[in-house]
Amino acid sequence: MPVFKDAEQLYDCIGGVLDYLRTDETVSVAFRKSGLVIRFKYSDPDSEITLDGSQDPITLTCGPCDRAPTVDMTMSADTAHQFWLGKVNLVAALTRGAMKAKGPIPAIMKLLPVITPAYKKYPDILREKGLDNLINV
Amino acid sequence: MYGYVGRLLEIDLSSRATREINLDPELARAYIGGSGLAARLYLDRLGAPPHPGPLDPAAPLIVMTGPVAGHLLPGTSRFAICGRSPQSGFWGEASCGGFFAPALKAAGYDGLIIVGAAAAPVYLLVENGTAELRDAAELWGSDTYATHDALTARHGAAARTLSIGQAGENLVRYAAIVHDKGHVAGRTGMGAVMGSKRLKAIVALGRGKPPVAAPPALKPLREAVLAKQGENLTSQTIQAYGTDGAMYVGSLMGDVPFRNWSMGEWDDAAIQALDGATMAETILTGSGTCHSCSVACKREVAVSDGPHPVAQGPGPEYETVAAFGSLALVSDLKAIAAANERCNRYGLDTISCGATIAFAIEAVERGLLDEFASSGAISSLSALTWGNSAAILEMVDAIATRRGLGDLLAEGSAAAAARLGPAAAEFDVTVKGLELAMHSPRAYHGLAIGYATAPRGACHNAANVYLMMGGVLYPELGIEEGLPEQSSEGKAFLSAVGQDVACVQNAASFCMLNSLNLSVTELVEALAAITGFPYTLEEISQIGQRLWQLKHGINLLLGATAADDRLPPRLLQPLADGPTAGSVPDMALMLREFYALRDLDATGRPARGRLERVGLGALADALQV
Repeated sequence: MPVFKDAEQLYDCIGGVLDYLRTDETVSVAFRKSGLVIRFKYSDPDSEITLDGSQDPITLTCGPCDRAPTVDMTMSADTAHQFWLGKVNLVAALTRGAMKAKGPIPAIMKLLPVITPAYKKYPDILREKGLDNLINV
Repeated sequence: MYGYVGRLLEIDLSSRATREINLDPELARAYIGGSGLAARLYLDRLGAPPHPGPLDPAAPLIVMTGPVAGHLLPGTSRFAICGRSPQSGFWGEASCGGFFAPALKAAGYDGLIIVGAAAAPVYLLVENGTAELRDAAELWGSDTYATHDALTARHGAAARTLSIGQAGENLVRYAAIVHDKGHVAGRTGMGAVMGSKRLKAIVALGRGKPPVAAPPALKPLREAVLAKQGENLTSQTIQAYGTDGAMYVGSLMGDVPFRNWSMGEWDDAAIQALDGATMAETILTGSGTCHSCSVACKREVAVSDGPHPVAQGPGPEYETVAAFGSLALVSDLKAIAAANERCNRYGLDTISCGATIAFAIEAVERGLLDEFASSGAISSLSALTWGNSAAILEMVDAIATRRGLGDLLAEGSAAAAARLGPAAAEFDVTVKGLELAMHSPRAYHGLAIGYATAPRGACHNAANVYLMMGGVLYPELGIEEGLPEQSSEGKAFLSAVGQDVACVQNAASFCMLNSLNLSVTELVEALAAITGFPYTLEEISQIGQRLWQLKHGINLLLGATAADDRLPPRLLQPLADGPTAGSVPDMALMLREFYALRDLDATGRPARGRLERVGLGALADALQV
């Protein structure tokens, strides 16, 4: 059974952590510097979120977005959930195809140190939304 | 023969005699080349006990290429340098990339078997099917970069060199052999073996090239590998940031060691400061490559400011950055680049050197080295503390020249721990006397059994575990899906299969990093296309088993027992924090399963039937099993 019951819940949770990154001072500076437009395409439930670092301020769009992505990250919603909980072997997931990345991989890897502090934030976001039950799934 | 020159050269440095040996095609087919063929040649020369010590003149030093070396497939640059390790006393092998393997074949030989010891320093010139020993008195005492420069000035820019620096001359037990500048056959102390023979260098040059059996078959293989490489995250990261591009992501998995393997996490900014991406933004000046490689993982760096300038040249790779960085809590890439340059010039294995210094820092902290306070190794022994890069660099110099405490540390962590007593054994992080590579068995339990049972000691390349944990699978051999990293279930099988594949890759001369994009089926096809031997998956799998059993059996003949197949105590202590908090490999489970898979009894000795099935009846006789 998928972690998220529908796209709305995914936007609430995964969108929540991405919004935290968008507004965090350190992350936003680094992300703006990269100029990347990252589209996260999820399955189960089908959904997509676009984080646009080519604009100031950075924009976050939950659902279809007109901006052409420079990076497409494709994965199941469950994998995304596990990733933000810090439970995914990123290299193995990308190599084996559980996460698919299309675009400038080195630029994505360079952002990794910037976004990983959100591992600690994600459980807080779930708790704030009363979704403690999702933390250990 | 196809793929091979078909000739080996044996050199007796004591008598200055040389002898050509025709390579038996059946031997080549069964042992392929590299460390595999070298192990068979070593066994043939081992004789009855007592066996010569690693630094005795009679101990052979074998330089061996493989059949794919020098051909137009990505990552076909490697060669092996093998003998009895001065670090472990057991089987030793060091792998190296660069351009020497095709150069040696161009010079007319697949490999060199060197015995004896010269009365005075010499170098060996191998050129177009001829070999000559030349006086090296003027080179003795020079570092490897100066030696390479002097030899290419004498023999031309096309000359490819192997040389030892002061560390090899001084018989530092983890001395390396350096090819040209910055390609290093680092592990197990083969530089000390070369130094014991007063062989300063080997120069290869020539114009020959062995033919390929089926050239049209190679092109689609090459295209397939390149296509996969273009889509492979790891390959792209390595291309952009070198192997050190794995530093930060590795730290997220708990793969990176901190403070002599005693800490589970470190300051995030410090880890970022060590990452390949930071190197690219700070000291990187370019990238370098080996023969026929499209990844180009080699880093070129320069440091012009600060206390430790580094001339434009080879930069550190991940293992070096971790050994002199995270392991010693140094977050200064410039200082690490300086340590790398010194190790390259002296001819020192950066893993063992960095790890031995981290061991020494902990020993200083515990007061176990007080008697060396005025040994003169470095300006102030009390300054040898975590993060003090200046003292660490001084200690590199002291080790290479065996000055003061450096003389003890030149023996390696295990020997130093034995000298310092039981309190030091607690933080001696070696297997079979070889310091651990910079990948944590707490993060990947498969590495634990891989380290414990690798014939040369704690080698991260012996079982391809970190590649498999990074997503590489071998479905043809039963590794069809990933396993949880911090679990010991199923890891004995995974490691055994990985060892078999790695043995073949090494024997053939394939680079591990390029092998990410070469399936086992493609490996078989490549070997068949180049050699003309009608290899099958089954035969290649059996060769992998043969080569592991052969090296393990050589160790038994040299005195190894089951007690040597173990992980050091520190790694069996759980960490309190970080991604591997509480993780301890279940060695009892994995060893039990591994021994069963390899048909070893409780003492580590193989069953005769198993050895005979993989064509090692002679080894069974020697072992009297």
